[in-house]
Amino acid sequence: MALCQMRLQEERKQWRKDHPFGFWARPLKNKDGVMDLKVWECGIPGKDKTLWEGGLFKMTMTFPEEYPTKPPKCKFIPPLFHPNVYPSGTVCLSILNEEEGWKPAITVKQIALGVQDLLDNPNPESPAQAEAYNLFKKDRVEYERRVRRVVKENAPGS
Amino acid sequence: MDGIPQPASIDEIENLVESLYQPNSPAVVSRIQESLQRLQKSSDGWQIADALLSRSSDNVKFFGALTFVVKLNTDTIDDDAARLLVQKLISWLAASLENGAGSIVIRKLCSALVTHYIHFSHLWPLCVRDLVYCLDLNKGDVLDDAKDSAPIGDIFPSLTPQKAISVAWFAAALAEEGEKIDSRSSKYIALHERLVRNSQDVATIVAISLSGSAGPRVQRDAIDALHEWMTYGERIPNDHLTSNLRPLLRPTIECLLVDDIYEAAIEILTDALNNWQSFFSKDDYDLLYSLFDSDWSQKRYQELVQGDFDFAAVKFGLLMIAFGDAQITELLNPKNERAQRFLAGLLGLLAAQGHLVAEDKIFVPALDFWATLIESMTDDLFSDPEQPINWNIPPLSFLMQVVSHCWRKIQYPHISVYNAWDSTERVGFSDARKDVCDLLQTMYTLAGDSLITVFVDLTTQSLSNTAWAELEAAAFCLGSLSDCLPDNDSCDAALSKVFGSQLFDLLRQGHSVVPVRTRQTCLSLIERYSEYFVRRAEFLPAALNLLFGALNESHLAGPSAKSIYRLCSSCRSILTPEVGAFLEQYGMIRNSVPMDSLTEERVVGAIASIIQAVPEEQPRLSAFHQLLMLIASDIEKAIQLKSITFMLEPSDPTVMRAFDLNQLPTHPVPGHEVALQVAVRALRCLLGAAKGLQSPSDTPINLDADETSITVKISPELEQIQTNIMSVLAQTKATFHDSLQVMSDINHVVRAGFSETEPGPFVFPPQMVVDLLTSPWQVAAPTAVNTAQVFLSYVQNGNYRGQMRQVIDQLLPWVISYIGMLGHPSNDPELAQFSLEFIQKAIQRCPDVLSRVQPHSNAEYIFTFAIEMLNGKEPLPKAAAADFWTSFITLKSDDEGTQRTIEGAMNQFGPTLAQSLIQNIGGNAARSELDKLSDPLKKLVFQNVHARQWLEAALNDDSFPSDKVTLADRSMFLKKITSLRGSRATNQVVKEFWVSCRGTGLGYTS
Repeated sequence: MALCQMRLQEERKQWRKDHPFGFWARPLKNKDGVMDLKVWECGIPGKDKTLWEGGLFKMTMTFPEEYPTKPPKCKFIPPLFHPNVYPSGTVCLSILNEEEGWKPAITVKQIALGVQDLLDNPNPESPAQAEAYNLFKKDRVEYERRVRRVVKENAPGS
Repeated sequence: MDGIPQPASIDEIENLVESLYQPNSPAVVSRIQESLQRLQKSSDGWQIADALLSRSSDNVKFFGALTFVVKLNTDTIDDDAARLLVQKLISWLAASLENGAGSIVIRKLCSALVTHYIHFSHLWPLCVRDLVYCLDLNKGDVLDDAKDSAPIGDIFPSLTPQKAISVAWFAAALAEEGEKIDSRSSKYIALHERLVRNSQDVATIVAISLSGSAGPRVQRDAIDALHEWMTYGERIPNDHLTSNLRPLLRPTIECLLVDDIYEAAIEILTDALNNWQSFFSKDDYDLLYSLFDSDWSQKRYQELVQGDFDFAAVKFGLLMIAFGDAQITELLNPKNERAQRFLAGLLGLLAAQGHLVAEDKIFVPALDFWATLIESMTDDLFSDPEQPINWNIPPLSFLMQVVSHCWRKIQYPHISVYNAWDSTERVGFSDARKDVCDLLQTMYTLAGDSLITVFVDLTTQSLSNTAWAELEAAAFCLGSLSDCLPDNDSCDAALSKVFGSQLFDLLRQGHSVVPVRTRQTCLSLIERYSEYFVRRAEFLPAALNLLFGALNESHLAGPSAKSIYRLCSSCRSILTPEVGAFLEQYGMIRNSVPMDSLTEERVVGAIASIIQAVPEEQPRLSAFHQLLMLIASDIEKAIQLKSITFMLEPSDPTVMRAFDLNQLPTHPVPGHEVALQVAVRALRCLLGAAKGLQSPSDTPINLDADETSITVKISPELEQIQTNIMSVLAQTKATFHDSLQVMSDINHVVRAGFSETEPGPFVFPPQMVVDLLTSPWQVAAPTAVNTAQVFLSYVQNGNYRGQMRQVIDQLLPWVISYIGMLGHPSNDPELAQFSLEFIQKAIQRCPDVLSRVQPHSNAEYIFTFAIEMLNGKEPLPKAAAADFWTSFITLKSDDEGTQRTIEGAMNQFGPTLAQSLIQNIGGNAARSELDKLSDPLKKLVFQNVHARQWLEAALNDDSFPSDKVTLADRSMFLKKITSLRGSRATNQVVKEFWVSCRGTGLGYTS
C-alpha cells in the first residue's frame, strides 16, 4: 500500500482514539459509499473565551499523493472571513507550507489545533485576503463585529 | 554570592543540601541550587559525591548519587578510574540497601550505575549479572570475579527482596535510557549489542520475580522492568531480544489474577496489544481467550457493565478492546466461535449502565473499536464480493445490536442530570454523539436502506410512546444518515412514515408538550431531508407551517430560519403558487414576532428564492415588488429616525425590532443608534433577497452568445424595480455615509447581481452601477473601488460586454482621481491595492484606454504608482503590483498606435521596474513574496529584449540592498535566470539568491 494511504489510515485511527474536544474530522465518501482517505472534512470550533467562541467552521483537508512529504491543503467551505484565509477559502499557515513549517511528523490533530489557534491569532505578516486583513489592521471594532456575525452564521444548530 | 556563602566543608555542604528541603522563597531556593551545582561541576565533585553518600540523611545521599550522574555526564575519565568508580557505586548501593536507605537513594544509585554503563559498557558488558553477583556478596570490588560465578538463575533467588527490587529498578532504567540512545548511529552500535546481550539475564530475573516467591512488590517491579524492555524491543527490534522476552508473557498474563499486581500487569498487556501485536504468539492469544472465558473475567466484566467505572474496572474493558483490535481478522470470521463469543462481550461494552462520558468511560473506546471493525468488514466484503453475506449470524448479526445500544446511549438524560454536568462532560457527550453519527454512516455502506428503516421505526415507536429522549435520539440518528442516501426515492416510503405521522402535529403544540431539544432535532430533520420534500410535496405545507411557527421561539428561531431557507430554496418550483401566502406571512411576522437580523435575512432569502422560480415575469416582479416595499419601509423608518434628537425607550416597538434579542438595550437609546440598526437590518434583508434571487447553480449558461448579438431586453416594470432598489441604496448611502458597516453592506448588495447572467432586479444595467460608484463614498472608498473591479468582470462576462469601453472610460478617471489624492500608496494601502487591481483589469480589457487617459501625465502617474507599490512593505499591495506588471509586460494590442504606447511605457519604466524587482529579490522582500515577484521577472526575461541589460544595471547599482553577495554572484544569478528563459525553475534560483543576499540563518522568520 502507498505510504500516503498507510499514514492516512494511521491518522484516522489516531484521530478516533484521541481528538480534541469539539472538533470532528472524517474522510469523505465517494459515490459508492467507500471512504476516500485523501479528502477529509472537519469542523474547527472557535476557542472558548475568544471572539470565535460558539462557531464551528467547516474545512476540508486534501492530502496530495506525496503526503506526508508534502502537506495537505486546508480549505474553509464556504471561504472564511479571516486575514489568513485566501478568498478561495485556502488557509495560509506556516505549518501547512512545504517550504516553511511543514514536517511529515505533523498530525491531523496538530493541524486542526493549529488552524483553531490561527482563528484568534491572525498572522499580520502573511495576509491572504484584503477585506479581513485591512479591517483587522485599521478598524478593530468593525473587524470584531464582522467576526461575531460570521460566528453566528456558523453556530452549530443555527 | 548574594547571602549564600560557598560551603567550605562537607558538613556545610550537607547543611546546604538539607536547606534545599526547607521552606524557602523561590529566589533563595534558586541561589542554593546554583551554589550546589557549582560544587557538582568543580574538580572536587567526585570527592564530594563520595563523602555525601556516607552521611545518614537520605536527602544528602540522594544528592551524592546525583552528583555522580552529573560528573559522569560532564567529566572525562579513563577506563581505570571508571573501573574503580563502578565498584564504588555498587558498594554504595549494597551499603545503602544494608542500612535501609530510602527508595530515592536506591533509585538514584541505580540511575548512576546506568549512566556509568552508557559511557563504559565495555568494562562490564553483562551488567545485570555483575550487579546480582556483587549484591549477593554485598560488595563492589568483586566485580571482576562475576564472570566465573554460578548462573544468575542460581544466585538471584537468594537475594533479599530489597536487593531483588533494586536489580529490577536498575534493569528498568537500563532499558529506559537505552531506548533514548540513537540506535542508527555507529557510535552506539556496540552499546545496543551489549544491552541486548543483557536481555537473557533480565528475562531470568523477571521470570523468577514473577513466580511470586518474593512477594507482590518484587513481582510488580519486575513487571515494570519488563515493560521498559518491551518498549525498548518494540522501538529497536531485535530477534534475540524478542525471543528472550516472549516466554515472560504467559506468567505476566497469569499475574492478572493477583489483585496486588493486577494494574501493573493489565497496563503492560494492553500496551503491548496496542503497539506490538507480533510480540504475542498463538499460544499467548489462546491463553488470553481462555482467560476471557474464565469466571474471573466474567466477574470483572459484569462489574464493569453494571456500572463500576473505577480505574481498575475500566482498565479491564480497555484490555478487552486492545485484544479485540489485535484479533480483528479472527473476529471477522463467522466460523470462529471462540472469537464470536469474545466479540459478544465487546458488544456488551456499548451497553454498560451509566450516562455516557459523565459516568460511562468505556463506551467511547468501545465505539472506536466497533467503527474500526465495521470498516474492516466493509473492506473485506468489497474486496471479495462473492463472499456470502449472512445478517443472521455473528459478526453481522451483532451490528443491529450495536445500532440499538448506540441509540440508547446517546439519549439525553433528564434535564436536571444534564445541568449538573460540567462543560467537559457536556462537550464529551456531544462529541460521542458525533462519533455515533460517524459509525452509522460507515455502517450504511454495509447495511444500506435497512438502517433507515431501523430509525424510522424507532422514531415512530418513540413517538407513539411519547418517549421524548428516545424520539430525539432516533431523529438524530436518522438525520445523520441523510447525506448517505442515494439521489432517488428508494427511502421515500420509509421516510413518509415519519413525515406523514403525527410528528408535525405534536411538534406544533409547543414546548409544553415536547421538550425544546427534541423539537430542535426533529425540526432539523426537515432540513436534512429537504430533497425528500421536493418529491413528496404533499408534506411540504405542514413542514413549512411548523417551521414558520417555530420562529416565535427564541431557541428554535435560528435553526428554523435556516431550515426554511433550505426547504424553500430546494422546493422553489413547487412553492411558486404559494408565493402570495409567504409574503403575507412575512408581512405579518415582521411586526409581531421578534426576530434576530440573521433569522429575518434567511426568511427573506427563502421567499426571494421562491420568487426567483415564478415563471412569468409579471407575477414574479409583482411579488418581488411587495417584498421590496416591506424592506424599503424599514429604510424609510431608519432615515426618519436618523434625524430625531430624543432618546427611545427600550420598550419602543422600533427598538425591539432594531436589535437582536440578546442585544436588546435596557436603557433609553439615541435615535440615530436605533436608525443605524434598522438600516443595517434592512440592508441585510435586501442582501438576503438578492442572494435568494440568484439562479440555482445548475441553470444552463449560453456560452455561444457572441458579443455583438446580445441585446438585453428589460421590461419597463423591471427597470422601475431596479431604479427603486438603486434609489433605496442611494438614500441609505447618503444618510449613513459615515458608517463603514452600512457602506460595506450596500456594496455587497450591488455585487450580489454580478454573478448573474439573466436579467433580474439586482442585475443592474452598467450605467446605474457606474452612477452609484462615482458618487461620493468618504470612509468606504476602498470598498467601492473593490466593487468596481469586480464589476468589470461582470460587464465582461455578462450580457453587457458591449458597454465595456464606455464603463471603463467613466470609471478609470474616477479611480485615477483616488490614487492622485492618495499621493503615496502607503497612505492607504487598501485603496492603492484595489485601485491598481481595477486599472490592471481596465487596461487588459481595453488596452487603448491608455492612450486616451487625460492628461497624459496621469498615465505616467499610474506606472510610477505601481512601482512605488512594488517597492512598498505591504504584502497584499505588493502582490497586486506584481500582478499588474506581469500582465502589463505581456500586454499586446492589434492597434498600432496603442501597441506603440505600450512599448513606449515599457521602455520608459523597464529600468525602474527591473530595479524594483532586483531590490526586492536582493533582500527587501519577505520570503513568502518571492513566488509572486518571480512572475513579472520571468515574463520580463522571456518577453523583453532589453531585460538582460536592465537587470544587469539594477544588479550592479550602488543601491543594491545586500553586501553579502559579490558582483560575481550577481552576475551568475543573472546568467542563470536569463538562461532559464522564464521557466518555472526561476523561482528556486530567486529564492536561493534571496537567501544569499539576506545571509544564512534568516530562512523563514522574515
